[in-house]
Amino acid sequence: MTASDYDVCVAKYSDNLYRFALKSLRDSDLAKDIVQESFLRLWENRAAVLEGKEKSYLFTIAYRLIIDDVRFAKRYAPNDNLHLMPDRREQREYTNLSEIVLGYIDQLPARQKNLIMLRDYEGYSYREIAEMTSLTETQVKVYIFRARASLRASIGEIDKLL
Amino acid sequence: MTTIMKITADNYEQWAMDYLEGTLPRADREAFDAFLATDPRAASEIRALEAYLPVAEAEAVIYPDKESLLRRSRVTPLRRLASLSAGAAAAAVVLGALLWITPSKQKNLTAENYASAPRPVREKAAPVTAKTPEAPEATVTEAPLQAAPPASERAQQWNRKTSELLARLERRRNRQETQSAPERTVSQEPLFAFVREATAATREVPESLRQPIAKPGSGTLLPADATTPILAEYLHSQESGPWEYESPENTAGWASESRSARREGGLLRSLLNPIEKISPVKYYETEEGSGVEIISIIRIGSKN
Repeated sequence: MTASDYDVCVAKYSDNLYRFALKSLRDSDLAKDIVQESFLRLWENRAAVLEGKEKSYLFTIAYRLIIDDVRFAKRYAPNDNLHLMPDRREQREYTNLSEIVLGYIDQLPARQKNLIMLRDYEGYSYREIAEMTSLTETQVKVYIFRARASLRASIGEIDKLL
Repeated sequence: MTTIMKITADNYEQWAMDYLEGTLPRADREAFDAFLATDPRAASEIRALEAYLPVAEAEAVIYPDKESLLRRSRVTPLRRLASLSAGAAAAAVVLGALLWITPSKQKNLTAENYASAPRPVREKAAPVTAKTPEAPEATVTEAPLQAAPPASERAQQWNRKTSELLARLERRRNRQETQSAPERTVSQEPLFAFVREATAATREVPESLRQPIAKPGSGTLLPADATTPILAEYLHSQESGPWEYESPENTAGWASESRSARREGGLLRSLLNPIEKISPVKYYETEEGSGVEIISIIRIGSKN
């Protein structure tokens, strides 16, 4: 990977990677750190990263960094950073189901939320997500199903909400 | 995928997404339906998801600091900026040095070109014409100095220093020359008559100093005492560089200026020494002048 190839990766994936980290951690500073660290590792390991696998590599690094942060810093415990991603249930001003879903996604467990974002935001297959997260494909499917079922239960009766 | 394990309430989740997304093979789908028929809670959950499957729609988020991540695109402008900065710094140093060592316009103001030299526009003034063998015709449109606006502070300072210089020169000549030396008269220098008339009322200058300052190999300079106010104001208007005499010897003209340039060349060399590490600097010194020539000061490129 040349410097130009790397810069192309920055242009193509930095926004998505930042969104992934920001939605997961709900802290813009931490999300920026995740992005910077991910791209730094991509650059340092550019010789080993296969062509076409740059995005998966970046999200793999970011996912692991996020999980580490969740495990050791308890980022998902209630804290003062919640204002960055306000609980949309309290707003009760939804205009469509997409906003409702986005509001409830933040309430999901960290792993479920990350997998949902990798699946829905980035469009990865279950197999790709399994490779990135070091989970089995079955585990990925189960986590995602639980996440969707939880979201569906939270949304409740759609007709009552809209 | 063919289901080998029996679908139960404990493991149905691993097939649920494939069932909902329609990717489950027919045999497995039938087995899953059979399970749902036996588990109302799971069936209710699956039916609800079939009615509406929550999918997160991507939000547009912009990473605010892409520049810090870039490698090639970030480095190249910095290198270019560094090169341009070095070039600009070198050019500024060279320009400043050249302006410093370049002799003032005074030495070029000979009798031939004095009339055509640019000067501040004055108010209405009567043309004064004087003829000499060196300058057949010279028309000057300056008004008498009494009517001219007061010289600026810088011009006054320059004028004062020149006067002091001339006074010292006069004392030296008084020591060297005899009492019988012929005294020049205004009529011997018709070219400068108008200037003398203009300056006579403002200050008294010894007649012995009213002789032209000779410049080797060139035309005759206007007498310093007579042209000082005009030149000072002219030079000030042209924003010329610093111009100071340090000793009476320097009034000799061009030769002394060359010495001054050579003396300042040492400082110039020290100033350009850092530039020489970037680009070759060629020093030259001829009878016409001295200076530096920078072969190439700016190089723009990128590292492959």
